[in-house]
Amino acid sequence: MTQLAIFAVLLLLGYGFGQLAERRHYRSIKKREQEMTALPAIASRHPPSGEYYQQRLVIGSVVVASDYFKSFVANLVNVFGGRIKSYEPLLDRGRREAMLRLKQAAKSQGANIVFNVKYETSRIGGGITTIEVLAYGTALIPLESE
Amino acid sequence: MQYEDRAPEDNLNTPDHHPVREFLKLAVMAAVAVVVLGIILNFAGSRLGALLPFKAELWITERVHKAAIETGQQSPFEQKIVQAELQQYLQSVADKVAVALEVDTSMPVTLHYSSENVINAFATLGGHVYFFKGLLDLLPHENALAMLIAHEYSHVTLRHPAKGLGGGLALAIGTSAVGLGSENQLFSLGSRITSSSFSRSMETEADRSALVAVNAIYGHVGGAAALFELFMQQRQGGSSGQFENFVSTHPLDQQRIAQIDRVARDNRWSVSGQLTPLPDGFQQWLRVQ
Repeated sequence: MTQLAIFAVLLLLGYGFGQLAERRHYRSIKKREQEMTALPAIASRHPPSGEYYQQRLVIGSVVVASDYFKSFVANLVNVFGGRIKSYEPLLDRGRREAMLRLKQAAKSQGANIVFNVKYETSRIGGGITTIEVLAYGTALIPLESE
Repeated sequence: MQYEDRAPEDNLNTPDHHPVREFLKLAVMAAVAVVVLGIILNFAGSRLGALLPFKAELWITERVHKAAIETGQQSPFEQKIVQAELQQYLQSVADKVAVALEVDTSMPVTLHYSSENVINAFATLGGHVYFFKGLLDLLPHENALAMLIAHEYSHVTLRHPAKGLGGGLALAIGTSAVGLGSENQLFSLGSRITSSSFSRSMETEADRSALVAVNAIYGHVGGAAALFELFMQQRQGGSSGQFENFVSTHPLDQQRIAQIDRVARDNRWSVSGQLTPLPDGFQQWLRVQ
């Protein structure tokens, strides 16, 4: 009984705090994305021709942890198969936050565009799922801004 | 070329998702799967366990005994009844039970006694039966003691420890094979419920068999219910509710008392008769150990 009660409390806490953190994070992400639209991040490997830029590697990295509730639901899905919907917002948040940080890094160096942008995701730690999302690209900084 | 960066549309990668609804759906599916799997595994395992010859049980307990001694630990099969009168008396009642139950001589039962104040008694592999001071101390008469001994003897003769071992092993191997380890609380609860219902059916079976012995020894089953009345009294103040019954390894005491009446009625056994008192000094013997 005690074990079950601890499990239920963990599940409830995970759900409550997890949802709160997720909502808060999304609000912040959306606001900052609007602010950053002036700085395009492009997947193309070819920079605009005929212009001269200084090129610098910029990275944005974030580590996001799942919560007890999400991990438990994901474990159940692992048994029956299907989309792990509980992890989708987690990865989405990770990617968008990493991109925002990459743009922030580029902006702080005076870049007006980031090229060749790529993502990498890795799982870190044991137990509750924790992921690192890394976004990296080449920031193009107009020479006159140097 | 014009480069543009637009904020991603909402819900593109995270479509509408109702976490609680998904959780409930999955939890129900998992619970059903675990219970079905548990029933199959437990049933198959206990069937296999019953095929284990009693000699194999003796071999297992012997190995455990030797391993404990070799590693300098106290062997669980070493605990003997030290107090001579207590040993003689318990053995004399046990002998009457063995005759009544027609226990095969190839199935030796060894009595053990622990002076711990625990209200319990149990039978394990190899015909080893354990009685705790806490329980013996509370017994009101010999009839209740005979019921207790007969109950534990019945576990041995009905091969319950071997069946339990087989069922438990099958459950453990099965659940870990499909990746549902004990770390998953829901699965552990599901398998507990399944194995508990199996244990309960064994307890009911042992109770029925024990009544046969008590009736054969005393000519009536009066006093047999005293054992469960005693448990009930001890539990009073505790939470003997529906849920406890659901996960408990033993049936509720009221159900066991009702079963005694039912079995007695069906077999036309008398439920009342002369109760045999425990010998003078019985409680004293328990303290000497």
